[in-house]
Amino acid sequence: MRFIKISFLLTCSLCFSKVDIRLFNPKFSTSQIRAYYPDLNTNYTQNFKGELYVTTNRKKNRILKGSNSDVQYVLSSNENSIIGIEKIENFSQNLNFRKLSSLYYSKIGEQKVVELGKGISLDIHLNGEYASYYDPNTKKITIKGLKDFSEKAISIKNIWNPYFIPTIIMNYSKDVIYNEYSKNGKMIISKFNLKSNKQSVLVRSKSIKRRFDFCINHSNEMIYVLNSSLDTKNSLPTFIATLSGEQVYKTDYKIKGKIICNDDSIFFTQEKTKISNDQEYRYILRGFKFKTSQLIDLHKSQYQMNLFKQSNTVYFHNNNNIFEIYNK
Amino acid sequence: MNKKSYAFIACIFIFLSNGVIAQSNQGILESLDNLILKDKQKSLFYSNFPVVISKKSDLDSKKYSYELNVDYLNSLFFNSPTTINNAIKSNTCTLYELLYLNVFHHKIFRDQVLVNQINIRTKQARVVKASKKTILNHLINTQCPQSKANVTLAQNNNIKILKNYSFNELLQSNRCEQKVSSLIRSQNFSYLAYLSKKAKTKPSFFKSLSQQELNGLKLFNEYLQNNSKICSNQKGENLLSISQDLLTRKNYIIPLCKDFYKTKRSLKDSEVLKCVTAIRNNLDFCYSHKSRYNNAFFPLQDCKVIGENFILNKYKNLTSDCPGKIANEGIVNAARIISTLTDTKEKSHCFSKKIEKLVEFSNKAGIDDVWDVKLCYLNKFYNDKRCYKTLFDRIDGPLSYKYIIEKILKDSKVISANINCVTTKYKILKIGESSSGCAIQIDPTICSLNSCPFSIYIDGKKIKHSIQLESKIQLSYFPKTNRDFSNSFQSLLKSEYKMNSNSIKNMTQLTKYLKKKKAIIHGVGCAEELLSNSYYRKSFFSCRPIPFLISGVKTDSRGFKNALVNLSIDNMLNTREIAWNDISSAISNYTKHFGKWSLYAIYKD
Repeated sequence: MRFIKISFLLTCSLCFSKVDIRLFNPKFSTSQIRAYYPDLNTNYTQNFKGELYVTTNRKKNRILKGSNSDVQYVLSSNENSIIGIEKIENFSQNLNFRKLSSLYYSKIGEQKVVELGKGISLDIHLNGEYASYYDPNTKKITIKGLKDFSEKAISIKNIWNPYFIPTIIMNYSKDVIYNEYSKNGKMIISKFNLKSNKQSVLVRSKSIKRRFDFCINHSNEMIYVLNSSLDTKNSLPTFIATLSGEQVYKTDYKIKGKIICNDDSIFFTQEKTKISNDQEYRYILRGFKFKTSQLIDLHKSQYQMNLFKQSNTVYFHNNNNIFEIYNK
Repeated sequence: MNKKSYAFIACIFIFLSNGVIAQSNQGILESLDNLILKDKQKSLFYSNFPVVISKKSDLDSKKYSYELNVDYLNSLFFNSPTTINNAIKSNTCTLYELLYLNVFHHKIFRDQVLVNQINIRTKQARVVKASKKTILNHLINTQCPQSKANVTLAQNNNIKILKNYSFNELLQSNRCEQKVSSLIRSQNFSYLAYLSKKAKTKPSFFKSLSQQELNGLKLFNEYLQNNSKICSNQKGENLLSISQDLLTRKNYIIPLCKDFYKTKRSLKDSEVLKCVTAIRNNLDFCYSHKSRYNNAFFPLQDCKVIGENFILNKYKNLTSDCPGKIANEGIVNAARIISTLTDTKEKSHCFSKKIEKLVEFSNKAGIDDVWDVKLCYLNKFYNDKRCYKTLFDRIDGPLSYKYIIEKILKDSKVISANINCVTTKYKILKIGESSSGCAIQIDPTICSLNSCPFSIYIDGKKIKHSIQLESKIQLSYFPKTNRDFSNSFQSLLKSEYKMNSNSIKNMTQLTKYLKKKKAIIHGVGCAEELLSNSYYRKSFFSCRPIPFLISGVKTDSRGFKNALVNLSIDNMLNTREIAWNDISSAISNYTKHFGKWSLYAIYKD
């Protein structure tokens, strides 16, 4: 990987012409959608009564029900086999940020739903092999093996932020990689190996006002780390680097929100914080292909673009629209 | 002072203010256009007049008396900055001085003035054009002898006089407004105005002044050029000026400096100054201000940003607090709102007075279980469950853990009626401490107001007990259905405090309601948009709701107007600047689940 320092906008429409964005238009109303798998002819929707439905090949079945209509279902999956379901009850009537949700998982498209436990921020890893979730009250991450029925609890260090929710990823070496806070309030990225039960620190932040976010690209098992400043006044540089410290991208504009690894690219949103005559946009969505080190601008907007990945597609909400990133 | 001129000027002011400013119907733009047109016409008409009085001899002061012509005055005030018009008010002599010194002049007639030449004997008047210097000299000599002093000062180019006026105080946010008033009221006002104009055009003339004084002088000129906001712009220039705003100093700077010195005693002014100077070079100090022990969302922001935002924050009685100790952000927001409405002074750092007020309010409104936290135990004699309400961070008193646990132990005959329990936070009891007697072990750093593990030691041994904490904290924040309409916090607020509500859909509405004195802006939005660097969307429409207050508006370096927001998960001290687009996105996404727009202003008419 070559070391690159990019400080100007690089638009290279010829080299990266395969990726673009389009409005998410799955030919049915998206107002209640929770997950979408066009390759499997499956989608999950929630209705106004607080019920979760799965529709496969046009057959619609109810799979979960709330105790009242004040429910939100959050569905998460990165691949096409298992889906995680977080059921948040009394969503608007009990405004407790740290309250635990009921967690379930299911094979995509099927009606059967298995209970996992109570927690928040459910993720499915390694093609349905593991599920991870977090309890902000006990500050424990739980890793459950969906095939071997194992269970592991990892305590995280945090005396600073009671509302912190760690980002959790796993690699095929059975490492669980997550972030936490050191004694002095600086963020660290730690690793816990399920086979050896050993914990170690991977990266330490040099400052309280910098944040880490990370994602994994399973094609080469590379983990990319975003190191961005939280300082609202000064423009300090933002970096994306591999875990081993090799810098991949550097910019003076803050990267806002999540970085998403998909295929062989990283997608992220940058925020324009310097005074400029160009007031057309405040946020810009960009993609970076790490094999070829190419950067492309995908979308500009005055509104935030919050990226999320489902199955193998990256989507984002923008104002009142939903877009997806696709290969032409 | 000629009584007639006084009357004329007074009438002009009344006419102008009623005719131009006070109208609030659609015709205002049209009538303003008409006035401007008429003014232009009149000026053109008069510009054709010959200059009748150019030297002193033309005056013939034995035959004629003079006063400024009404049309000329109308036109003069109409085309001049409001700030300078207001400074003059009805003081004719000040007007003469300002005209004479060229600080105030008519747009079209620069060196001439229109006056009424009145025949003393016949009382007949006609409008004549006079050379400015000649006529004003005459008017000042005959009507305003004391004004000669300022004219003399200008002729002598005296800048020593500036030493009496400390113009540098205009740069201090807490001195600025008083300074402007005192400068306008001073007898040398017109000369000071003259100097301030010169400071802008010929700053080299003021070499003997300090940079601060010169800047103050220039700022005064800006004020007279119609920038009435010079004082509010001063606030937040730097941490030093921030620390001079009284409320900011009391509620933010002093607690910050106590943190800095790691002390709880009161600080001397010199210590505060030293602290502020030190923090100026280490603004990162505030990222972790009052942050240990999971008190609130972390990290905060740098000290200058927190200070700037504090000054612009509408809810100034709200001080640093600990939302992390309460397991319901609806309650945190509600407690802050009630606290503002009842002007409650919080003594302890983490909340309980606010919660008490909220509980009082909800009980009064007929809702008992807003804050239902109690310690319960099984009474063996009567075989029933008994419960007592508690508020954890009370050290003493009928709501404290200590008092209630003691009471329960006495009721259960575990200890005799005359024994008192001590509280300790150490896991192992110190030697000599209660090897006989009762001790309750609690670690306050892991306690919240509704959850606090404790152990009881009797005669040095840990005992088993059946005392359990039961808590039911719920608050329906906004009404979701018609059924819970009357029970929701928003509805209760409106009925108890006789307030109205209005949903806020754009920046214009927001600015309008923020200006109302007793108005409170509150809402619920998704964390994924409000704090997108910490909370990430996981799937379509996923949303973690956070209630918040909007406490002001701030213009950023790009000229965009952003809202100042107090999130319920943040320490109240840490006001964040969030763009309107981000707020409306946050609310739109919450609305997708909730069904109704969730940002309201509650206000009294």
